[in-house]
Amino acid sequence: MTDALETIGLGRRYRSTWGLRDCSLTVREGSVTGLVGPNGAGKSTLLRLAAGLSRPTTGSVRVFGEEVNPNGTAHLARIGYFDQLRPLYDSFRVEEMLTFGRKLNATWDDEAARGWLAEFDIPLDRRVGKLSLGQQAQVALAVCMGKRPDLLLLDEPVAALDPLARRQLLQTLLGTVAERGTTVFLSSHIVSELEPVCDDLIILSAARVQTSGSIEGLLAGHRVLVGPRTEAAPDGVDVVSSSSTSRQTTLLVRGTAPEPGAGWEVAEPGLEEIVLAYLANPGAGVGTDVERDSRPEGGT
Amino acid sequence: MIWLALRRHRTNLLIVLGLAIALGAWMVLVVWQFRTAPVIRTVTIPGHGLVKERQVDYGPRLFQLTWQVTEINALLLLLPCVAGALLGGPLVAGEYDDRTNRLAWTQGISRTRWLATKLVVVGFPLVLITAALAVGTHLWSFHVLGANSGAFGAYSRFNHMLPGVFPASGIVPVAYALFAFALGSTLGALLRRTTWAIVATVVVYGLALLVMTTLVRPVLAPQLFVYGTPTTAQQRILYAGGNRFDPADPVGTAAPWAITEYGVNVFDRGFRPRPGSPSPDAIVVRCEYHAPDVQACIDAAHVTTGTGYQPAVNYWILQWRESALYVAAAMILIAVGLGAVRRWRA
Repeated sequence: MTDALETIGLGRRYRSTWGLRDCSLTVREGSVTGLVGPNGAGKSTLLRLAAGLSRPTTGSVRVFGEEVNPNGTAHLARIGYFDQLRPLYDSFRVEEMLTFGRKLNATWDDEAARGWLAEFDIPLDRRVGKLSLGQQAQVALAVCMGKRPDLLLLDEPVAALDPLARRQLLQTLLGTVAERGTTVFLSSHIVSELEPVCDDLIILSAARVQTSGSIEGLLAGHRVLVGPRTEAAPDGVDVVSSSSTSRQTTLLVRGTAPEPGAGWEVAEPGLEEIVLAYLANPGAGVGTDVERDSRPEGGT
Repeated sequence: MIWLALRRHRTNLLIVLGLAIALGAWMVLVVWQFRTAPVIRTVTIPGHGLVKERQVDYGPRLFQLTWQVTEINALLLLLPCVAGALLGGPLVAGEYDDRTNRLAWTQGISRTRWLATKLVVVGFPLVLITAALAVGTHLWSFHVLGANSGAFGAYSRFNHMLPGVFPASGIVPVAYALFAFALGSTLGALLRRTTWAIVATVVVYGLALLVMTTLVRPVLAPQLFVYGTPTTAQQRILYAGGNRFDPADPVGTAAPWAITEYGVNVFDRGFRPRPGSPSPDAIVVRCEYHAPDVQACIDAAHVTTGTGYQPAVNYWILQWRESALYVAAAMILIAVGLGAVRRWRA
């Protein structure tokens, strides 16, 4: 089975700084994969490279097995790209944005796009520039939906929305993509939002992939150890992060059955705890993968 | 994509169309004013018969026909640059400004097709508008300055070969507009900011015009050379502004001919050998250093001073060649712009 998205040693340099470095990852076909990381971690750079908007400095990026050529059209028919800045033609009416989609795409599903707009009560005759930021995001997503893509690349799709609208959007999104088997690769810096919708998670920090894997795998593959305050970690455990109070030390470690010895309590961490542990230590676990489950059932 | 390009740039296209129509309307108004201006006297002009000489400088300055013609000419000079920068500047840079290139480049068409379509869909109407205005200007200039130039031209000093009139007449304005448009779109693709693109377009356009006027146009067609100083009769003709030339007398010894003391077509005032004599430079230098009477020394060596110029008969040759240069430059710029859009990040 080919992956929906595959990057090998992918890097992108902006003058003297790297926006993304040595990034090798895969997004499984049919999965909903989350991309988390702090601001400036390289999430948008990665998504722009995947959409062919940027040219890799090193490495390669493939969409459904085909190398992405920034000036080509092969990958364009298969992707739907939502930019973080939600660029739209402000002077256009919403209706005209649909015309835009229809005119610029060989295949266009007007019903899907209109359905999306109706779902969120976006008036078709309103000028895009007059809409709220949240509504503009919905218009941009409607254009993505009209393309009927096989791979949706969504850069911070819920950033401009209020909490209620976020939940509605993610639910609608999941419902829609489950019907079609669309692969979704979406970025966010809010882990709690990704957890209920994602199958897989990729943690990006300081321009590098720290770890990636299925959410179940991540949860099952890490443990929290709480013990008496100590400077040195117990032998035989792979520490991701550690924090200490005056009396005790808390460690987040990789591995399912650590044997830290007497005095240590072992507990199961939450996803947010794991993610924060990785983000707090940008050097930890660079390039490691947690084993993934087999292909998820549609609509999970 | 055609729909998108028109929808996106229709406002600026309409502004350019509006400017051209307004200018055209003013020209018509001037013709009407000229035709109804009071007649001073009726004079006979060779080749034209009886011509009514009209009073064109009556009334407040704002309404004087000479003033209006000068202003229209100035606007005709500005229009190609303004129209080209207004349409070309935002063509690519406007998309970078709004990041809408990211939207357009992730739909179903390639960047090359995206830009090529925009260039054609916006550039073609620009060429049509400026071409229509060029035809109108040509007709207008003859109406106002042509057959009646004996009367009107005496006041107006207009002459198609003048550096201020040549670029506003004929077909070069169309080539200028295309050049400014290509310049604007390519600078926009390189600079990625509409404001900078427009400013840079105006600056580069001005420099190109300066280089063309002072260095290129004088040698773009074979010059004529008049030995000695122009006679009083010739000077009177040139100040009278001969904007027409007589194909039967291309050198312009009898009919109004374009030679002017202050025009671009006068250059290279200096020493030339009389036909058959050797290179004058060495002789002149030798005379200046060694001879007690420099002029007598130069005359004895059969070298004379004179004036090189482009005669009015070269008008269309110069127009076509200059247009070709500008169109070629526009094509190169478009190729550079396409390359930048293909290669660069969004």
